[in-house]
Amino acid sequence: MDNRFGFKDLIVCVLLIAMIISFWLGRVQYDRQWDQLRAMNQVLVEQKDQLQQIRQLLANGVQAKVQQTGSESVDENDPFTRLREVRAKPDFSQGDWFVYPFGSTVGKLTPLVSADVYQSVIASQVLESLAVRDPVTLAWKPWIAKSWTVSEDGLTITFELREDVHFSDGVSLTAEDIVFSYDWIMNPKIAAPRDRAYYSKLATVKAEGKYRVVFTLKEAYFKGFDICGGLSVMAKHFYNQFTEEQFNESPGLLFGSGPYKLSVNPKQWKPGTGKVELVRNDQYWGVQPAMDRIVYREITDDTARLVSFRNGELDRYNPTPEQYLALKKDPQLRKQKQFFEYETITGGYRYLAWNQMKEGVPTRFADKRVRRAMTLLTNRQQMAKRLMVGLATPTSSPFHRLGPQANPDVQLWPYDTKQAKALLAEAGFKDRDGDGIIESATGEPFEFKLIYPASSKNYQQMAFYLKDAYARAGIVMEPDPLEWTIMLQRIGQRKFDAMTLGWSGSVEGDPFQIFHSDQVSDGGDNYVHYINKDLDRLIDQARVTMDEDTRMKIWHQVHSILHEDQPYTFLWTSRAVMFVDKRFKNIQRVKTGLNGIEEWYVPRALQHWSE
Amino acid sequence: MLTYIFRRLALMLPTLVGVTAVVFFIMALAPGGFGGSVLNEQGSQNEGEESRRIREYFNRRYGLDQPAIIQYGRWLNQVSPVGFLTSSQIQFTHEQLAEAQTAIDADPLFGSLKGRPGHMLALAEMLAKYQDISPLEATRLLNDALGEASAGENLLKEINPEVEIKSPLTAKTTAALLLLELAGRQRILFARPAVKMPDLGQSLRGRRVTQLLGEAVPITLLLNLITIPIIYSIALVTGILAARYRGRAFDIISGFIMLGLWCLPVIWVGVMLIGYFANTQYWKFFPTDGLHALEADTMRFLPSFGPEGFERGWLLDAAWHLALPILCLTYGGFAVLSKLTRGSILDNISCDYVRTVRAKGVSEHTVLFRHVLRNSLLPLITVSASILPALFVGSVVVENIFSIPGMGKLGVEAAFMKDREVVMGTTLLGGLLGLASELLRDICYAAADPRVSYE
Repeated sequence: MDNRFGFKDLIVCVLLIAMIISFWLGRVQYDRQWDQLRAMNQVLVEQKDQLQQIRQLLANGVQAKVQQTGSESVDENDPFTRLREVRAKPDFSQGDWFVYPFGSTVGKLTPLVSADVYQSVIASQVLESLAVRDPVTLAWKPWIAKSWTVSEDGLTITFELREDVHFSDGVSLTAEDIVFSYDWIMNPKIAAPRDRAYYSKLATVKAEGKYRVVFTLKEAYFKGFDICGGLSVMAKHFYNQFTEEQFNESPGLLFGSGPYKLSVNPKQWKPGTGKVELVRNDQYWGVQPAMDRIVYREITDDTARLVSFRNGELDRYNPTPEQYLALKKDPQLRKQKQFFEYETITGGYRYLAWNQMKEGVPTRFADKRVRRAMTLLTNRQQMAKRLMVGLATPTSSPFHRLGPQANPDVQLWPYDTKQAKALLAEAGFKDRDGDGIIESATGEPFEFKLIYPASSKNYQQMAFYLKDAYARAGIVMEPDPLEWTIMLQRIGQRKFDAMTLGWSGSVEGDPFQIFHSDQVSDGGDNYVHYINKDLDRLIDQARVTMDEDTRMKIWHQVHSILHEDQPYTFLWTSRAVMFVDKRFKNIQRVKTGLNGIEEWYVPRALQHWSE
Repeated sequence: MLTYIFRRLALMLPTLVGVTAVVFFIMALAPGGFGGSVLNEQGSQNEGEESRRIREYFNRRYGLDQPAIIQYGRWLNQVSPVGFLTSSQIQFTHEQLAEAQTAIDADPLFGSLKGRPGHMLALAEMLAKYQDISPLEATRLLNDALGEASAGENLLKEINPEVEIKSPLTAKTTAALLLLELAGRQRILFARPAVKMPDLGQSLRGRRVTQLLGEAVPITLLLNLITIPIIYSIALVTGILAARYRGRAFDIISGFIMLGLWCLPVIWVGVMLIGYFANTQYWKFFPTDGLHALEADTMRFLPSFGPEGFERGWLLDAAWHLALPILCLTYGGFAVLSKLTRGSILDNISCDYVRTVRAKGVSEHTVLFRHVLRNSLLPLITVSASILPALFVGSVVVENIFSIPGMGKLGVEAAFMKDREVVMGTTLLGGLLGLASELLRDICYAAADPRVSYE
């Protein structure tokens, strides 16, 4: 018998494969229907709950609120004044989506235990805190709390909560939830070491009645209010359903009282689809934002992200400085998008750090005159213009010039090679043998290595620029690029001459960690071995001063001392750039950057997406 | 044959250990060691004290502070189905915990510490797991440790010999230090050998490796199940035709085109495809990224004409999204296979038996497909043994350019982050599949060719 593989067998095989594929596709479709059904079911359950709540309210008797016209009194405690102003605009319209690209994976949304960079961006739309910083004045303004009192010594902070706040499932938010949030963070079985370390400055958090919470701090600290007021409130009734292990391993347990919520049940959220969708919380206790949805899409490739943005599939794009230079004049982008250059007070600063003690021996940078000479030799204006394509502003301190901490009287050290050379000569560095390189009294040439992260092209350009600049004064600088983890190791061991990096900032920074002499020893961040007892005293004093005006005066002195001593050469603060689709209105520059998405809207005629 | 298979299976074990050991130690001995990049995000400013505590926590949780050899031993124990239980795997019953709770409630010493409800029980539970004793015993131990400073110090030293005790120990500070030291700490309980489920562990970013693989594998599998048949069918057909018309225009042109395609780097082609074929400025034929459109969840399944005109439907939408990535994955794969087919057919065509068949007057067509092709496919079967592991290995470049969350992206991201468990998980999967496919190939040889025998 001829049992060769013939034409008929081929057909049978193809048919068989086709059958398997169509069966599989059928399953896929079935699953899709099932998902839709589940989503619908969830909506139904939510609506049932809402109905029940309304019935209950009706049964208890509802008091009609009489709108007071005539009186134009503005409620000082109303957190939504800005949003109300936006909604009053003539072309305001609710609706449309905002599509937000991410460059890396978001695999975990559960608060506290997620280490994903973008998790906090998403969580900020879902979770709320007791108080928020006003984006314009930077002062704390009430949010979930309607008012608060801080005791004289700054150790006790009492918050009175609003009574109308509820979570996205309608359950009201009480003092219990705030105590629970703190306990949950402090629970050692929760894998939240970051937050646990941050909140370890608190001694207790106690509920007094349903709408009052008392925070006590272990020691007076000027940032005590930031710590308490910024606590994200987690719903006790929701998170209590899970054991600590379940919570630690869950991917999507993001649930709160904010204006948006996850588009699916948080228990069923699955990562790996390349997007995260938030929908407007229709039961939000405050004023509703305009966008129906915020969609976060994961697009790893830079070109793909830019093309998608051009195509109108994404609504924002953050170019690198070099890209910005090229795209600024792009006619298509100019026509369809809006460009924003903005500065954030929390944006941080770049610096050159001069190590004063290497392996137990004072270096030449231990001399204040040498450090100042180095600053005078660094042409920060030109570097900002050339290396940062104009997106940077030279700075003279770790405090952002937009904030109240910076001393307005301090003038930036100029670029002045003559004065620098004089200072170096005064410190004993002269060209003694005529080879163009300056030497110390013992004949040692002025040579040092600058370490910087090898992965960054910008740092590399900077290193080469500085090499040239210092060579002109007879100083030999050798660029020494290092892999990030090795660089950290070297910094930890204090084995470097000079380095350059950036620190991120906060609205009111605490220089203790970087410049206080307590932080010189093992592991501290004063890795340049900078010791100034006057500065220590001022920092210690400021940290326990609760009165803002007095404290700011001390910070101003701190700024002056740092300016005199130049432990770092403070380089610049940078401006961020963002492109946004033209259909979004009311995007404003504020001190914290750009105002939040909740204040943006799309006029009806321009809306692109609909539910 | 059976003994042979058993022998091969037994040999697979040391090979796997070798493969994983090489990967593990290269990663561990590289500067920075494991986890460095996850724990220190570039330029972020944590308070010195804070960042130290965070690092300590992660070090304990993943044992990152231990010598590489011990870390590797721990990992082997974790993935092996036979091994020892670790302290985190011990579970207590509700009764046991309730017992401990009553003991804690009854004790005035614990009562004086009651700042945070529930934490004493949590502490007792962690201690019980770590010391492998019952929760009730742990409360007693805890009571001694908190009651007396020296006992507390001993217990702390027992858990971490390098513990720093700065101020004299009170009950409160002992409790706080114990909480700090025990949080996340695991140890292997050598007194408890067990047969257990192999566990790939937890990624440094807090997700289970099995979950991560479960998400990435189907996507890569889908891509490869479409790509590989396309490559094979096109390469085989052109290879056969090129051999048949050797030296003629078809042979030269197809060889030229395929080699040309093979030379193009994917990273460039991918970006060009997006730049030209997914861009409204040029031709917006395809989407730029991902596997589905944003509104795909609410689409119908099949394409249809609805009230708003043509609706793509879920199936076509998926195909449309796959078009560019599949193109990138396939175009470079033709050359090698097609040249291999061509070469092996030409080898056979010059054989004696072909001349004999031709001399019999059999048509050229029959000669080629009946006689030559069947004999020339053998080397191709050797090549196709690599398909099984290849199905699971994603393309790093294509997945990154088109933002497809497959295996390639998972593996490379993990390698950059030095995420120990994920790297080891993907290595183990790759190693297992590679070894299994080799075994399968050898068995197939014996089955296909009577001359091959392993007795």
